[in-house]
Amino acid sequence: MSEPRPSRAPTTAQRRLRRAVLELKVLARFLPSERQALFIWAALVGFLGACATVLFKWLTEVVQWALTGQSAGFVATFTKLSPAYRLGIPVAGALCAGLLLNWTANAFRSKRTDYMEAVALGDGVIPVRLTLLRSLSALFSIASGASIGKEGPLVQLAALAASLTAGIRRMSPARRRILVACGAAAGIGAAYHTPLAGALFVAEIVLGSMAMETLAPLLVSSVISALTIRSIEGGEPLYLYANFSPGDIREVVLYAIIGILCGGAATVWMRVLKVSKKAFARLPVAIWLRLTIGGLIIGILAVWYPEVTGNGGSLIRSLLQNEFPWSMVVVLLIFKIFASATAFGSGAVGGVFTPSLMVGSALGFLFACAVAAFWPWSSPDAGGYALIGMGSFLAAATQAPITAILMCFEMTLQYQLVIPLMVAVVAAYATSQRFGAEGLYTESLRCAPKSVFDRPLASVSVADIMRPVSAPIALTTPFRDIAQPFLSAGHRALWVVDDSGCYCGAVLLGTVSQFLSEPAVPGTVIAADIMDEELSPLSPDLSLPLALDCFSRLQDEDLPVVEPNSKKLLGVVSKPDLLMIISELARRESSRLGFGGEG
Amino acid sequence: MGLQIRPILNHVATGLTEPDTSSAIEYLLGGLQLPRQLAAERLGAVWRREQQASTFIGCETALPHARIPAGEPWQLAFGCFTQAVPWGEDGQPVRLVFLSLVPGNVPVAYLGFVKKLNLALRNEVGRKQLLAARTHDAVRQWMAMHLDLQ
Repeated sequence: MSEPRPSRAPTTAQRRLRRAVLELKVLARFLPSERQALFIWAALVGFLGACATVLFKWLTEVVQWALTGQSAGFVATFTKLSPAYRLGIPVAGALCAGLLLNWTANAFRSKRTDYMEAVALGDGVIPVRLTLLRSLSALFSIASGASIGKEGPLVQLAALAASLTAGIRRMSPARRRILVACGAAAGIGAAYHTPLAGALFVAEIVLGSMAMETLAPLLVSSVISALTIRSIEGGEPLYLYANFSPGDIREVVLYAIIGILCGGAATVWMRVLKVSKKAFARLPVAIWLRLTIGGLIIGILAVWYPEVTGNGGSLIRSLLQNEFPWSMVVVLLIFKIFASATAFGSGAVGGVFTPSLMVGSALGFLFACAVAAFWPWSSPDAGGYALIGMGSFLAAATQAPITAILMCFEMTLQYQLVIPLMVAVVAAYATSQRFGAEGLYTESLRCAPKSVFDRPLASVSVADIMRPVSAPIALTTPFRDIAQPFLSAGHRALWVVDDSGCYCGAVLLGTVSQFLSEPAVPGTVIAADIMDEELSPLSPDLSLPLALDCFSRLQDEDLPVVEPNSKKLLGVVSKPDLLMIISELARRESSRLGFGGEG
Repeated sequence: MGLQIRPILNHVATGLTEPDTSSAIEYLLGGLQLPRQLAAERLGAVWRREQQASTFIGCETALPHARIPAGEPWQLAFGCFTQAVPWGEDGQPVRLVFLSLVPGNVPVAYLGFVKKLNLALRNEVGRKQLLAARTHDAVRQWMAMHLDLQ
């Protein structure tokens, strides 16, 4: 009996298989390492972060229009409203925001939404529904004129997009953490049009490390985000300012003085925020009522001074254009501080970053006016000094001097500003340190729940850092079905388990890659025939240094984690993740022990 | 491209008549002249693998095999049956059987071997030549020519 001669024309299935195999061959040749792949995900997160920013801004305008009938800046909008509306809209917005917060507080056990906690101390997981509801609450607060920054929720949403992306890709906690940091950098880059400062802000404040390992993906994400936002909103800097020209060398003294003043003022500003928070917390009322009281206070202020509404961005622009007399700036500064502290203290969801910039720029402006009056041989540029004040105040408030310099430069694109800023920022930073100031974000990090990164290196085991196995395959998986997971998920190894989920071996990409283009490999070849049984699985209770030792004897990037008695496959640990976590834990440990540890 | 690690053709049997899969496997494994206990272990391993999934590859051919510890020689036994053996659960007719004991550390070489064997047997001329081979040398020559094995 002879077999029928096979047809020479390939069938559709064969063509599909060949195409898939060709793709896999190309993929296998150019398959990026985990670190390179992180750049690709960072770029995607940058794009998503910019989209989240645009969407939130648009929604804010929609809600603002629904409440006020106008969609111009808050100051312009509130100036045109009657006193009753100026009072009523912040109250109505705060009530809606408060009721939402009240509901989320009762409905969700988890209180953790902050991206800083997720990145600095946690595993990079940001709860979706809770974050979205809190962002919705922020939307009502911001759109109704609360004196609070929308940058907080913008960054939070960008970080959420990153957390979701990492979750879909089933990334390890270490990698997810970096990706969420990329989301935050993208959010800041998009919110302020500051790609470099966005990345450095997250590296300096949130991650606490300038190591290239973490800084590089942050930069990728931030740059993609900034480019996306530029293509949507245009490439104008956030704060347009005519050419700044520094004065003669004697003005260095003035830069240092303004730095010292802003350093001290930033310390006071942070205390005011803390006192406000404590005062509202003492009120024996529900969250919704607390926010409504805050809205009422802002509404009352807005009846006489509509300039206190909004995050303060339009006030900064007015100061740069010298639109206010100094006496008016003094009044606005006092009321703006009061309004921002009220919004922040009442628990409204939002940021105090832009309000801090406003306070700093007002101080710089007033300083320039004072110098013009009392320093006869100098005529300082008030707008320029507002920018220097903004930068130095920011440096002291965030305890991130490099970020502050870069951020001011990127927000204005005035290189001439950098040298005066450097002087003022150093003075402000040193002054705030002298007063024992803590950064704006220190408290939120201190209050966050403890995580693996908060433990000593010796107490962290493989079980704490392993990631789940995405798709283990059965011993009997035919050869043709092995290609698909390699192709679709970019795996370097497929983990083989028996019927009871016990680990048996791994099919490695290196083993099968040259045969995936070969339909001649019979379908009767199964995973059990070609799996590698020599990979030594890790035990879940193994310490990280010992796990690293296991990797050092292998070329593989991943090792399975197996329960020692039952041989159940528990998870996978990758070498880059392990190195990243050990490095981070070691850095924190040396920092705790007082050996510095800046990466 | 020659295979880096090659199976050693240790046993050739032609003109066989066996009633079923298990006796065909047992007969060919017996030709490898393993110590009794080891032979029993290997037989169990080949049979377990066969039960996981049939090794019938079409063209009246089956490739029963078992993984053996890394470092041991890759042994091959060939059997040509005059009457087709009903193979596996679905009783596919098999006249050519390549039984191999494959060390666990040569999956790439094993894949190369089964690929070339499959291609050679799908060639009607090549398959007829193998069916006509009657001696150890003739099978060895066929393998050298079609599988690039010496």
